[in-house]
Amino acid sequence: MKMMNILITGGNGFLGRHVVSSLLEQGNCSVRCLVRHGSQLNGLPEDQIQIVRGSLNNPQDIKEALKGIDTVIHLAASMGGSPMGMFIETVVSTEILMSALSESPVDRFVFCSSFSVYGASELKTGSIFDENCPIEPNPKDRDAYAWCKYYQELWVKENVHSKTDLAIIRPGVIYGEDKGLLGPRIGLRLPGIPIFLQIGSNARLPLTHVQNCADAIACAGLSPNKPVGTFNIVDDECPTQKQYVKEYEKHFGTIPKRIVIPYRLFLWLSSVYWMLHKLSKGNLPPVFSSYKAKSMYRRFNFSNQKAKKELGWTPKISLQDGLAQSYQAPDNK
Amino acid sequence: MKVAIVGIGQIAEAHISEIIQIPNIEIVALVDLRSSPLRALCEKYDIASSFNSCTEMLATSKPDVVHITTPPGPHLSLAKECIESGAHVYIEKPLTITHTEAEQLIEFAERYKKKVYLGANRFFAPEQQKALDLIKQGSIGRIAHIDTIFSYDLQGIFGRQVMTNPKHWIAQLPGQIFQNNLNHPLATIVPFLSDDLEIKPWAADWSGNGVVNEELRVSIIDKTNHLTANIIFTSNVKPSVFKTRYFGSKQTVSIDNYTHSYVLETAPTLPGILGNIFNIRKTAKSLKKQFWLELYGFFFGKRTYFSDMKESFEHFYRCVRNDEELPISHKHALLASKIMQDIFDQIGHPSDKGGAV
Repeated sequence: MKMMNILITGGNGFLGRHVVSSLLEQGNCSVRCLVRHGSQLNGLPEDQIQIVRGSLNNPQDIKEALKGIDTVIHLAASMGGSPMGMFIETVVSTEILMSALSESPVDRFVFCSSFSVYGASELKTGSIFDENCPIEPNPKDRDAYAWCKYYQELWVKENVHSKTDLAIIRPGVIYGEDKGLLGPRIGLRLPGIPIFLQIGSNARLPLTHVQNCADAIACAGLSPNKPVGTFNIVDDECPTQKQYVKEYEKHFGTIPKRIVIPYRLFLWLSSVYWMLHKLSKGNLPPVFSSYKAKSMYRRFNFSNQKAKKELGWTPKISLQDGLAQSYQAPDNK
Repeated sequence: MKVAIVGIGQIAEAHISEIIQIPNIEIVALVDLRSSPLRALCEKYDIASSFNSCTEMLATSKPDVVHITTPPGPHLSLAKECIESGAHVYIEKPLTITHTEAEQLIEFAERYKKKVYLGANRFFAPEQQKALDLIKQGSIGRIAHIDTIFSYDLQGIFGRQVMTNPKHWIAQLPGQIFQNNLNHPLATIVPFLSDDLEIKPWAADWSGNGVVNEELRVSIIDKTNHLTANIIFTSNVKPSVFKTRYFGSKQTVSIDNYTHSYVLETAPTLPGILGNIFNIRKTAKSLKKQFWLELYGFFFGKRTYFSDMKESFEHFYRCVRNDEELPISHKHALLASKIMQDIFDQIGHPSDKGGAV
């Protein structure tokens, strides 16, 4: 089989590093990572891959990075900053990348999207949450990350070259090492208040261990079946919040000062907060809304059947092993 | 009044969200070389048109005012094109790349009887306006000295991008991060200056990043107005700071642009140490009142992060409508650009002589 030449954007990020190691483990491929000037490599194996320094916002850097490439895995996205700053780093850079690819198309394009593009608030409680879930109808009402991912995915879908096979990977909540272990789907720590507010107990968590998610992306890039379409990535176990907290506490000990707020109460508090957000003309940031609460804290049944069937992917790391590994991470011990 | 915005980068959304709150102003078009931000912001704010070309926008939308929010490289050419088409221009700081360009721009605008407005929005923060009112009323007396300190976080998301990328547009400006920010502290000083100035700058790249200078100190001596001013621009302090202090012959006023507060320092009314102690009480009472006003403003949306930008726009639109003198006049905009040019000519690049002058 012909060796694949793969370019990865965002390869030195949390997910990217695992995608690189999964590709090197799984396949007959040569890997090139486009890394911003001055950014840390975060342990990327320089002796096994090629590092190209440059910016996704610079068309010339992208053209250079694409030379001799037949597959692109596009992971890069901004995780913080002002909404327009995130947009420029996430969507405008994708526009520049897609523009370069329209001139010299590749065979495969694997794009890492997000669950945040879904309009889950439209779904009935208890529904199956799979690739048929509707896309967010009101992206402007979502947070900056969801807004950017919505337009990033839209741009990819509308501008991918007709000769390129496109696989869109939509991961749920990626956890592992020291990241995503007590994320907002479980609860919140409010600034200056030393308590952990767990929001609800019975919503299922669309978790995927970072290595499992990386394996799915590598499968989408390397599979000889050339899978095309959208794939939701969640692990086999999607524990409820209560089950997750129990498992978490087995490894990390009791979460101090944890208070459980029932979903209905939180929904009401979110509505009040949203009114205050509007009254203050955005001075109170739009972190809570009933719209968001309905997306995040209701019970859905997440499915990974399509990804398992069409990508040939199997999540290898169980929740128990994933949390045990996380506990071993130097920052968590 | 019809407004268009050219350059959909970091600051453009702040412009849009403030403009839409101003009555009788309509944003008719957005312009950018990239289409994705045009689409996202037009959908978010219900803006009818977008263009990849400024020329096409001017011909189609015929705006009365154009906000230019691109990086400063094309400011001169874009502004001239807008002015020629009959529009007034609001330009995000810095005005142009060089002082020569600034002179060309102002001369061009005046020939076409159009207004060029330098966007240095923090000049319109209420505490700054309070200080200017006190000075205007004569409460401060004759200004002898102005101190201003401004900090920039190079460890923030945007700062790190600049510091690690020699090709970043800010790193390539003659005055680098200083050029992109110095208009804020300069706006607090320039209204009091003549053009008979002696300027002594010092700059350094203390971290040795080799890409941008991080620290700047400037002494300004106004030989005609008998006034001195110091500017401290620092990238190595926490928390972020932008404070200005006007030392007058009667009183001193200090303003804090982050907490939006001011303190008036007056001569004691009681004798000796007791007078100084009672001055603390007077300051505390004044700050307590400002605290409640700020808190009220926060919860009821009277003051938002960019509300000084809205003030700035309202002033500009009023001046355009009534053909009045701008609060930051062409003369002040040119003097600021002349001072900046003088500073940048003297400090050079961090790779020159280790960065320090």
